[in-house]
Amino acid sequence: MNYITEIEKLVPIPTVLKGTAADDDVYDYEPMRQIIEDAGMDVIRNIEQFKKQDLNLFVTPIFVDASGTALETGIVEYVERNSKSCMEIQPAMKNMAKDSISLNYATEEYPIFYREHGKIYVLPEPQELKNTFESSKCLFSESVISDGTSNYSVTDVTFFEDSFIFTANTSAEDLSPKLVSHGLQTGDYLEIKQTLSGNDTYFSIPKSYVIRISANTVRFVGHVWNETSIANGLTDDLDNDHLEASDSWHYANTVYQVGSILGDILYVEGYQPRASESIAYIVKPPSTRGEQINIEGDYYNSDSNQVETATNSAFADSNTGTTE
Amino acid sequence: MNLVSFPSKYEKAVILYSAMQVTLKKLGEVMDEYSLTQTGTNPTNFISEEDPEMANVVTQRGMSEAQWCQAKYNALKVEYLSFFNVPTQQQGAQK
Repeated sequence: MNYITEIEKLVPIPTVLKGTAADDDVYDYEPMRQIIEDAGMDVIRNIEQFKKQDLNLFVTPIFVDASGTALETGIVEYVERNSKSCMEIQPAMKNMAKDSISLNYATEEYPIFYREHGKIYVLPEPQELKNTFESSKCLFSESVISDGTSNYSVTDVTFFEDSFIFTANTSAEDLSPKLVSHGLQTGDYLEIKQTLSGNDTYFSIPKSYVIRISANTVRFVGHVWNETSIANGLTDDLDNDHLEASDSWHYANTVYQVGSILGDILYVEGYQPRASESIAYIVKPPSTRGEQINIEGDYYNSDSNQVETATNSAFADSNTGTTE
Repeated sequence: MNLVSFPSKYEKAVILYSAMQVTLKKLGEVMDEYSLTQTGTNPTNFISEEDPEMANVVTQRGMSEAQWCQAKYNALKVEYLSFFNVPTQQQGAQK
Protein backbone atom coordinates (compact mmCIF):
# COMPACT_ATOMS: atom_id res chain seq x y z
CA MET A 1 0.00 0.00 0.00
CA ASN A 2 1.29 3.39 -0.93
CA TYR A 3 0.11 5.67 1.81
CA ILE A 4 0.80 8.83 -0.11
CA THR A 5 -1.37 7.71 -3.00
CA GLU A 6 -4.17 6.67 -0.69
CA ILE A 7 -4.07 9.95 1.17
CA GLU A 8 -4.02 11.83 -2.09
CA LYS A 9 -7.22 10.11 -3.11
CA LEU A 10 -8.92 11.68 -0.14
CA VAL A 11 -7.42 15.10 -0.24
CA PRO A 12 -4.97 16.89 -2.50
CA ILE A 13 -1.59 16.97 -0.89
CA PRO A 14 0.28 20.23 -1.02
CA THR A 15 3.53 19.90 -2.87
CA VAL A 16 5.48 20.93 0.17
CA LEU A 17 4.33 17.80 1.94
CA LYS A 18 4.76 15.48 -0.96
CA GLY A 19 8.44 16.01 -1.50
CA THR A 20 10.07 16.16 -4.88
CA ALA A 21 10.57 13.73 -7.69
CA ALA A 22 14.14 13.40 -6.61
CA ASP A 23 13.08 11.70 -3.44
CA ASP A 24 13.55 8.00 -3.77
CA ASP A 25 11.05 7.34 -1.08
CA VAL A 26 8.46 9.93 -0.32
CA TYR A 27 8.00 8.43 3.10
CA ASP A 28 11.42 9.70 3.97
CA TYR A 29 10.31 13.22 3.36
CA GLU A 30 10.04 14.57 6.82
CA PRO A 31 6.71 16.46 6.90
CA MET A 32 4.71 13.63 5.33
CA ARG A 33 6.49 10.99 7.32
CA GLN A 34 5.74 12.86 10.49
CA ILE A 35 2.08 13.12 9.61
CA ILE A 36 1.78 9.41 8.94
CA GLU A 37 3.65 8.61 12.13
CA ASP A 38 1.33 10.85 14.08
CA ALA A 39 -1.57 9.07 12.46
CA GLY A 40 -0.27 5.71 13.59
CA MET A 41 0.14 7.01 17.10
CA ASP A 42 -3.35 8.44 17.20
CA VAL A 43 -4.88 5.25 15.89
CA ILE A 44 -3.24 3.29 18.66
CA ARG A 45 -4.31 5.81 21.27
CA ASN A 46 -7.88 5.48 20.09
CA ILE A 47 -7.70 1.72 20.07
CA GLU A 48 -6.37 1.76 23.59
CA GLN A 49 -9.27 3.91 24.66
CA PHE A 50 -12.14 2.57 22.64
CA LYS A 51 -11.22 -0.86 21.29
CA LYS A 52 -8.97 -2.54 23.77
CA GLN A 53 -9.79 -5.89 22.32
CA ASP A 54 -7.66 -4.94 19.31
CA LEU A 55 -4.71 -3.73 21.30
CA ASN A 56 -2.96 -7.05 20.93
CA LEU A 57 -2.50 -6.30 17.24
CA PHE A 58 0.27 -3.93 18.22
CA VAL A 59 2.09 -5.99 20.78
CA THR A 60 5.81 -6.27 20.44
CA PRO A 61 7.78 -8.57 22.70
CA ILE A 62 10.64 -7.23 24.74
CA PHE A 63 13.26 -8.94 26.83
CA VAL A 64 13.59 -8.23 30.49
CA ASP A 65 16.97 -8.59 32.07
CA ALA A 66 18.00 -8.92 35.67
CA SER A 67 18.39 -5.20 36.17
CA GLY A 68 14.92 -4.50 34.86
CA THR A 69 13.89 -3.08 31.53
CA ALA A 70 12.46 0.33 30.86
CA LEU A 71 8.88 0.50 29.70
CA GLU A 72 8.13 2.74 26.78
CA THR A 73 4.39 2.75 26.97
CA GLY A 74 3.70 1.36 30.40
CA ILE A 75 1.28 -1.11 28.89
CA VAL A 76 2.09 -4.73 29.51
CA GLU A 77 0.05 -7.40 27.85
CA TYR A 78 1.53 -10.29 29.72
CA VAL A 79 4.82 -11.51 31.04
CA GLU A 80 6.41 -14.92 30.82
CA ARG A 81 9.47 -16.41 32.34
CA ASN A 82 10.70 -19.63 30.91
CA SER A 83 7.25 -20.36 29.51
CA LYS A 84 5.68 -19.73 32.90
CA SER A 85 3.20 -16.93 33.24
CA CYS A 86 4.21 -14.26 35.68
CA MET A 87 1.77 -12.77 38.13
CA GLU A 88 2.04 -9.08 38.78
CA ILE A 89 2.65 -7.91 42.32
CA GLN A 90 2.84 -4.50 43.87
CA PRO A 91 6.40 -3.18 44.09
CA ALA A 92 6.03 -2.97 47.85
CA MET A 93 5.93 -6.77 47.85
CA LYS A 94 9.17 -7.21 45.96
CA ASN A 95 11.31 -7.94 49.00
CA MET A 96 8.95 -10.67 50.11
CA ALA A 97 9.18 -12.14 46.65
CA LYS A 98 12.94 -12.28 47.05
CA ASP A 99 12.83 -13.76 50.54
CA SER A 100 13.08 -17.53 50.37
CA ILE A 101 11.30 -18.00 53.69
CA SER A 102 8.38 -15.86 52.68
CA LEU A 103 5.12 -17.32 51.47
CA ASN A 104 5.32 -14.79 48.64
CA TYR A 105 8.68 -16.03 47.47
CA ALA A 106 8.87 -16.07 43.68
CA THR A 107 9.93 -19.39 42.23
CA GLU A 108 10.72 -20.84 38.84
CA GLU A 109 7.27 -22.36 38.77
CA TYR A 110 5.51 -19.25 39.98
CA PRO A 111 7.46 -16.26 38.80
CA ILE A 112 6.24 -12.74 39.30
CA PHE A 113 6.82 -9.33 37.84
CA TYR A 114 6.40 -5.84 39.13
CA ARG A 115 6.78 -2.33 37.87
CA GLU A 116 8.82 0.28 39.57
CA HIS A 117 10.19 3.64 38.47
CA GLY A 118 9.25 3.12 34.86
CA LYS A 119 10.85 -0.29 34.62
CA ILE A 120 9.61 -3.82 34.70
CA TYR A 121 11.29 -6.48 36.80
CA VAL A 122 10.92 -10.21 36.87
CA LEU A 123 11.56 -12.52 39.80
CA PRO A 124 13.35 -14.84 40.04
CA GLU A 125 15.82 -12.65 38.23
CA PRO A 126 16.46 -13.68 34.64
CA GLN A 127 19.84 -15.13 33.96
CA GLU A 128 21.89 -14.62 30.90
CA LEU A 129 22.89 -17.92 29.45
CA LYS A 130 24.24 -19.01 26.14
CA ASN A 131 22.16 -19.61 23.09
CA THR A 132 19.78 -16.80 23.69
CA PHE A 133 19.58 -13.45 22.07
CA GLU A 134 20.69 -11.81 25.24
CA SER A 135 23.82 -13.86 25.42
CA SER A 136 24.85 -12.46 22.10
CA LYS A 137 25.87 -9.28 23.75
CA CYS A 138 29.45 -8.66 23.04
CA LEU A 139 32.14 -6.15 23.32
CA PHE A 140 34.26 -5.13 20.44
CA SER A 141 37.51 -3.49 21.22
CA GLU A 142 40.05 -2.59 18.66
CA SER A 143 43.72 -2.08 18.64
CA VAL A 144 45.66 0.47 16.68
CA ILE A 145 44.80 1.30 13.13
CA SER A 146 47.42 3.13 11.20
CA ASP A 147 46.39 6.33 9.57
CA GLY A 148 45.59 6.72 5.93
CA THR A 149 46.23 3.18 4.85
CA SER A 150 44.47 -0.10 4.85
CA ASN A 151 46.70 -1.52 7.55
CA TYR A 152 44.08 -2.63 9.94
CA SER A 153 44.61 -4.75 12.93
CA VAL A 154 41.38 -5.66 14.55
CA THR A 155 41.80 -7.74 17.63
CA ASP A 156 40.26 -8.69 20.90
CA VAL A 157 36.67 -9.20 20.06
CA THR A 158 35.35 -10.76 23.17
CA PHE A 159 31.83 -11.94 23.47
CA PHE A 160 30.27 -12.24 26.81
CA GLU A 161 29.62 -15.63 28.28
CA ASP A 162 31.57 -17.80 25.91
CA SER A 163 34.66 -15.66 25.47
CA PHE A 164 34.47 -15.78 21.77
CA ILE A 165 37.52 -14.11 20.38
CA PHE A 166 38.55 -13.43 16.87
CA THR A 167 41.34 -11.54 15.28
CA ALA A 168 41.30 -9.90 11.94
CA ASN A 169 44.09 -8.29 10.10
CA THR A 170 42.49 -7.26 6.91
CA SER A 171 40.33 -4.34 6.13
CA ALA A 172 37.78 -6.60 4.52
CA GLU A 173 37.06 -8.46 7.69
CA ASP A 174 33.43 -9.33 7.85
CA LEU A 175 31.90 -9.68 11.25
CA SER A 176 29.05 -11.72 9.88
CA PRO A 177 30.31 -15.19 10.76
CA LYS A 178 31.12 -14.05 14.25
CA LEU A 179 27.67 -12.79 14.88
CA VAL A 180 25.94 -15.54 13.02
CA SER A 181 27.73 -18.07 15.15
CA HIS A 182 25.86 -16.61 18.05
CA GLY A 183 22.61 -17.74 16.69
CA LEU A 184 21.15 -14.53 15.39
CA GLN A 185 18.66 -14.98 12.70
CA THR A 186 17.16 -13.18 9.80
CA GLY A 187 15.07 -10.26 10.87
CA ASP A 188 16.79 -9.70 14.17
CA TYR A 189 17.96 -6.25 14.95
CA LEU A 190 21.15 -5.36 16.65
CA GLU A 191 21.80 -2.12 18.29
CA ILE A 192 25.36 -1.00 18.08
CA LYS A 193 26.69 1.43 20.56
CA GLN A 194 30.00 3.03 20.44
CA THR A 195 31.01 3.21 24.02
CA LEU A 196 34.43 4.69 23.70
CA SER A 197 35.59 7.14 21.13
CA GLY A 198 39.09 7.76 22.42
CA ASN A 199 41.13 9.98 20.19
CA ASP A 200 38.94 9.45 17.25
CA THR A 201 38.03 12.80 15.84
CA TYR A 202 36.36 11.53 12.70
CA PHE A 203 33.71 9.26 14.03
CA SER A 204 31.00 11.80 14.25
CA ILE A 205 27.57 11.53 15.78
CA PRO A 206 25.52 9.54 16.08
CA LYS A 207 27.74 6.98 17.62
CA SER A 208 25.19 4.30 17.59
CA TYR A 209 23.79 2.30 14.76
CA VAL A 210 21.25 -0.30 14.04
CA ILE A 211 21.96 -3.26 11.90
CA ARG A 212 19.65 -5.86 10.65
CA ILE A 213 20.40 -9.40 9.84
CA SER A 214 19.53 -10.42 6.34
CA ALA A 215 19.45 -13.92 4.99
CA ASN A 216 22.54 -15.85 5.95
CA THR A 217 24.62 -12.88 6.75
CA VAL A 218 24.92 -9.98 9.07
CA ARG A 219 25.40 -6.65 7.52
CA PHE A 220 25.72 -3.24 8.88
CA VAL A 221 23.16 -0.78 7.86
CA GLY A 222 24.61 2.33 6.48
CA HIS A 223 27.40 3.56 4.37
CA VAL A 224 31.10 3.40 4.55
CA TRP A 225 33.15 6.32 3.54
CA ASN A 226 36.79 6.98 3.15
CA GLU A 227 38.54 9.85 4.70
CA THR A 228 39.19 11.62 1.43
CA SER A 229 35.58 11.32 0.46
CA ILE A 230 34.48 12.93 3.66
CA ALA A 231 36.73 15.85 3.04
CA ASN A 232 35.30 16.14 -0.44
CA GLY A 233 31.72 16.00 0.58
CA LEU A 234 30.90 12.48 1.60
CA THR A 235 31.14 10.66 -1.67
CA ASP A 236 30.27 7.05 -1.36
CA ASP A 237 33.38 4.95 -1.51
CA LEU A 238 31.67 1.64 -1.72
CA ASP A 239 32.13 -0.80 -4.49
CA ASN A 240 28.92 -2.70 -4.93
CA ASP A 241 28.05 -1.93 -1.37
CA HIS A 242 30.84 -4.10 -0.15
CA LEU A 243 33.70 -3.18 2.02
CA GLU A 244 36.84 -3.98 0.15
CA ALA A 245 40.49 -3.92 0.86
CA SER A 246 40.95 -1.12 -1.61
CA ASP A 247 38.77 1.14 0.47
CA SER A 248 40.86 3.00 2.94
CA TRP A 249 39.58 4.35 6.19
CA HIS A 250 36.44 2.44 6.52
CA TYR A 251 33.96 3.38 9.07
CA ALA A 252 30.27 3.75 9.25
CA ASN A 253 29.11 7.26 8.93
CA THR A 254 25.86 8.75 10.07
CA VAL A 255 23.27 6.28 9.10
CA TYR A 256 20.51 5.07 11.27
CA GLN A 257 20.30 6.15 14.82
CA VAL A 258 19.08 3.76 17.37
CA GLY A 259 15.36 3.93 17.31
CA SER A 260 15.27 4.89 13.68
CA ILE A 261 12.56 3.49 11.57
CA LEU A 262 13.92 0.63 9.59
CA GLY A 263 12.32 0.10 6.29
CA ASP A 264 13.97 -0.97 3.10
CA ILE A 265 17.53 -1.11 4.13
CA LEU A 266 20.67 -0.82 2.13
CA TYR A 267 23.17 -3.13 3.59
CA VAL A 268 26.82 -2.57 3.99
CA GLU A 269 28.88 -5.56 4.76
CA GLY A 270 31.41 -5.33 7.47
CA TYR A 271 32.47 -2.53 9.66
CA GLN A 272 35.82 -1.32 10.76
CA PRO A 273 35.70 1.10 13.65
CA ARG A 274 38.46 3.57 14.14
CA ALA A 275 41.17 3.33 16.68
CA SER A 276 40.34 3.23 20.35
CA GLU A 277 36.73 2.44 19.80
CA SER A 278 34.56 -0.07 21.48
CA ILE A 279 31.15 -1.05 20.43
CA ALA A 280 28.65 -3.36 21.97
CA TYR A 281 26.07 -5.34 20.10
CA ILE A 282 22.83 -5.51 21.90
CA VAL A 283 19.97 -7.52 20.63
CA LYS A 284 16.68 -5.79 20.32
CA PRO A 285 13.38 -7.27 19.31
CA PRO A 286 12.18 -6.50 15.81
CA SER A 287 10.45 -3.20 15.65
CA THR A 288 9.69 -1.40 12.47
CA ARG A 289 8.40 1.68 14.13
CA GLY A 290 10.88 2.25 16.85
CA GLU A 291 9.72 2.26 20.39
CA GLN A 292 6.95 4.72 20.12
CA ILE A 293 4.11 2.43 19.27
CA ASN A 294 5.39 -0.65 20.95
CA ILE A 295 3.46 -2.23 23.68
CA GLU A 296 5.61 -4.25 25.94
CA GLY A 297 4.61 -7.82 26.23
CA ASP A 298 6.38 -11.12 26.15
CA TYR A 299 9.19 -11.88 28.43
CA TYR A 300 11.84 -14.23 27.24
CA ASN A 301 14.40 -15.34 29.67
CA SER A 302 17.63 -17.12 29.11
CA ASP A 303 16.09 -20.55 29.27
CA SER A 304 13.56 -19.84 26.59
CA ASN A 305 13.42 -22.76 24.23
CA GLN A 306 11.61 -20.73 21.68
CA VAL A 307 14.56 -18.52 21.01
CA GLU A 308 17.18 -21.17 21.21
CA THR A 309 15.49 -23.57 18.88
CA ALA A 310 14.81 -20.98 16.24
CA THR A 311 18.31 -19.64 16.11
CA ASN A 312 20.08 -22.93 16.09
CA SER A 313 17.98 -24.35 13.35
CA ALA A 314 18.33 -21.26 11.24
CA PHE A 315 22.07 -21.18 11.33
CA ALA A 316 23.05 -24.72 12.02
CA ASP A 317 25.74 -24.63 9.37
CA SER A 318 26.29 -20.95 8.95
CA ASN A 319 29.48 -20.60 10.84
CA THR A 320 31.37 -20.32 7.65
CA GLY A 321 29.94 -16.87 7.25
CA THR A 322 28.07 -17.29 4.04
CA THR A 323 27.42 -14.00 2.38
CA GLU A 324 24.94 -13.02 -0.20
CA MET B 1 9.10 4.69 6.63
CA ASN B 2 7.82 1.26 7.01
CA LEU B 3 4.24 0.76 8.02
CA VAL B 4 4.02 -2.71 6.65
CA SER B 5 3.61 -4.16 10.09
CA PHE B 6 0.71 -1.91 10.87
CA PRO B 7 -2.37 -4.13 10.97
CA SER B 8 -4.19 -3.89 7.66
CA LYS B 9 -7.40 -3.55 9.58
CA TYR B 10 -6.34 -0.10 10.63
CA GLU B 11 -4.36 1.06 7.63
CA LYS B 12 -7.37 2.97 6.38
CA ALA B 13 -7.60 4.73 9.72
CA VAL B 14 -3.99 5.85 9.39
CA ILE B 15 -4.76 7.21 5.95
CA LEU B 16 -7.86 9.03 7.13
CA TYR B 17 -6.05 10.65 9.99
CA SER B 18 -3.18 11.68 7.73
CA ALA B 19 -5.66 13.21 5.31
CA MET B 20 -7.20 15.12 8.20
CA GLN B 21 -3.84 16.57 9.10
CA VAL B 22 -3.12 17.53 5.51
CA THR B 23 -6.49 19.22 5.30
CA LEU B 24 -5.88 21.11 8.49
CA LYS B 25 -2.56 22.29 7.20
CA LYS B 26 -4.18 23.47 4.02
CA LEU B 27 -6.88 25.23 6.01
CA GLY B 28 -4.20 27.15 7.84
CA GLU B 29 -2.58 28.14 4.58
CA VAL B 30 -5.90 29.24 3.15
CA MET B 31 -6.69 31.32 6.19
CA ASP B 32 -3.28 32.98 5.98
CA GLU B 33 -3.85 33.79 2.36
CA TYR B 34 -7.31 35.08 3.07
CA SER B 35 -6.11 37.47 5.71
CA LEU B 36 -3.48 38.81 3.36
CA THR B 37 -5.60 39.31 0.29
CA GLN B 38 -9.08 39.70 1.69
CA THR B 39 -10.25 37.26 -0.92
CA GLY B 40 -10.86 33.61 -0.68
CA THR B 41 -14.48 33.43 -1.51
CA ASN B 42 -13.65 31.47 -4.62
CA PRO B 43 -11.51 28.45 -5.18
CA THR B 44 -7.99 29.46 -6.02
CA ASN B 45 -4.85 27.62 -6.82
CA PHE B 46 -5.03 24.80 -4.34
CA ILE B 47 -8.28 23.21 -5.34
CA SER B 48 -8.35 24.47 -8.89
CA GLU B 49 -5.01 23.02 -9.81
CA GLU B 50 -4.90 19.92 -7.70
CA ASP B 51 -8.49 18.89 -7.69
CA PRO B 52 -10.43 20.51 -10.56
CA GLU B 53 -13.46 18.37 -9.95
CA MET B 54 -13.67 19.50 -6.38
CA ALA B 55 -13.11 23.05 -7.52
CA ASN B 56 -16.29 22.80 -9.56
CA VAL B 57 -18.17 21.53 -6.55
CA VAL B 58 -16.85 24.35 -4.47
CA THR B 59 -17.81 26.88 -7.09
CA GLN B 60 -21.28 25.49 -7.51
CA ARG B 61 -21.90 25.50 -3.81
CA GLY B 62 -20.45 28.92 -3.35
CA MET B 63 -17.99 27.67 -0.79
CA SER B 64 -14.74 29.28 0.02
CA GLU B 65 -11.61 27.18 0.17
CA ALA B 66 -11.64 27.49 3.91
CA GLN B 67 -15.18 26.21 4.06
CA TRP B 68 -14.27 23.35 1.80
CA CYS B 69 -11.32 22.41 3.96
CA GLN B 70 -13.43 22.58 7.09
CA ALA B 71 -16.17 20.47 5.54
CA LYS B 72 -13.65 17.96 4.26
CA TYR B 73 -12.00 17.75 7.64
CA ASN B 74 -15.28 17.15 9.38
CA ALA B 75 -16.21 14.41 6.95
CA LEU B 76 -12.86 12.70 7.35
CA LYS B 77 -13.11 12.92 11.11
CA VAL B 78 -16.50 11.28 11.19
CA GLU B 79 -15.21 8.43 9.05
CA TYR B 80 -12.04 8.16 11.11
CA LEU B 81 -13.84 7.96 14.42
CA SER B 82 -16.16 5.32 13.04
CA PHE B 83 -13.19 2.95 13.15
CA PHE B 84 -13.29 3.09 16.89
CA ASN B 85 -17.03 3.22 17.34
CA VAL B 86 -16.75 6.65 18.83
CA PRO B 87 -20.16 8.32 18.68
CA THR B 88 -20.08 11.67 16.97
CA GLN B 89 -22.09 14.61 18.24
CA GLN B 90 -24.46 14.20 15.34
CA GLN B 91 -25.07 10.57 16.12
CA GLY B 92 -25.46 11.40 19.78
CA ALA B 93 -28.11 13.98 19.00
CA GLN B 94 -30.04 11.47 16.89
CA LYS B 95 -30.16 9.13 19.82
